[in-house]
This record gives sequence, C-alpha cells and structure tokens, in this order.
Amino acid sequence: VSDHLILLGLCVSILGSCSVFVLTARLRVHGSHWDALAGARDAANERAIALLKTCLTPEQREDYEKHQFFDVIGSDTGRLYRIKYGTQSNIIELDKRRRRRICGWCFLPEGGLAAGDVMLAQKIALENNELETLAIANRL
Amino acid sequence: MSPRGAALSDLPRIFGQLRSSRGLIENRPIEEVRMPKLLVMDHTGHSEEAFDPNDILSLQEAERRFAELTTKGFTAAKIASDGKNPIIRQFDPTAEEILMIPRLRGG
Repeated sequence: VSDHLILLGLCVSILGSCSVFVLTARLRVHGSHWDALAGARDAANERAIALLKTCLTPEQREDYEKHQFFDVIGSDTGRLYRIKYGTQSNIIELDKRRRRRICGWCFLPEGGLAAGDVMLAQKIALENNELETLAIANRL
Repeated sequence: MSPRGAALSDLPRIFGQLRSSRGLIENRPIEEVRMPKLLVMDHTGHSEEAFDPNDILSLQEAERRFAELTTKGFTAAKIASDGKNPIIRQFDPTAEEILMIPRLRGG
C-alpha cells in the first residue's frame, strides 16, 4: 500500500510540475502578445500625432506643443472650441475671451483610432461642418 | 562629299553629343518625386494609398477607392500645409493628399 501511495504521490507531483510549466509558457506567450499590441498602439499613436501636426495652423501647432491642446473656430457660428489631447470628452467650448468654459462636447470617429487621428477628425469637423457635427455630438 | 563620308565625319560630333547628354543625366540632381495619396485613418494611425495622376488606370483606381470609402460614410478632406483642410465631396485628382476620416458618432 505504501508503495502505491508513493507512486501516486510521484504521479501527482509530476502532473503538477507539468501544469505549472504549461501555465508559465502560456503566460509568457500572452505577455509577448500584449507587448506586441502595446508596441503597435504606440506606433499608431506616433503616426497619428505626426499627421495631426502637419494639419494644424502654426498657432494651433504652437499651442499643441506647449499645452497638448489647440483651439478651433466653428465654421457656422464662429464659436471657440478647445480640443485637448485624448479620444473622448476632450472638447470644451469656451467664451470669446478663452477664459470661461461654456460646456463640453463629445464626438469621435468610428474604429478605435489613436488620439492624434481623433483630434484631427474633430478639428476638421468643427472647422468645416460645425452644426452638422454638433447635432450628432453629446453635450457634457 | 558622299553621304557615307558625311556620316563618318559627323561621328566625333555625334559621340560628343552623346557624351555630353550622358553627363547631363548623370549630373542632374535627384528630385524627390512625391506621389499624391489617399490617407485612410485606421487603427495603425493611417494607411497610405498612393496614385499616379499621369496614369489613367491609377487615377481610376484612386477614384473608385474614394467613392467606396465615402459610400461607407467616410469624410474626405484635402490636406494643406497652411492648416486649412477643406472637406471635399468629389475626388480631386490635383490634391496632393486626401485624408479619409471614418464616420463620426457621439461619444
């Protein structure tokens, strides 16, 4: 009986070691997968920011470099909007003196895009199609 | 002088011209050829789809792609260095870069 118990114990320990080995290997694969995803996301972000900068006016570019935001003027009403770095709830409407927040706006392009692309889409929308854009946006 | 004689006597001149034209080609500064392109926003930042405005097939393909994306709800805007990026409804073969933006939605 004791021999059988020893054998059983041996089998259990071998199985346990195997499962730990498999689990570790899987975690390692998942880890590298996540690292690759994070790398791709960072690269997309860099490309998007580079494209955004080429599409800004000199004043907007200066603001963005200093403060990570830039201001745009609505094409229909002439109202002032500040687009901050981000992908959601990142637009605020300001008074003419750029001091008082009037409200926030949230709209973005479909497809889980990088922040630079989202900000560029928001700028082009407000500078060309302000009212049409605000009609689909959420006011905050 | 016979025609053959004239041809033979012209050889140094002809070779001279060839040499000088080769020199012109070799010494010509390399110009960067920038192809116009569609920039399609996607999860990689954007994809670039270049087209040749002098090639009718390439132009047609770019126009077809433009129509395909705008039908899907994309907005097209011309990229200009002054920071003004006007929205366009029709494919513009003279634009250097056309940005294609996916449909907007409330967040």
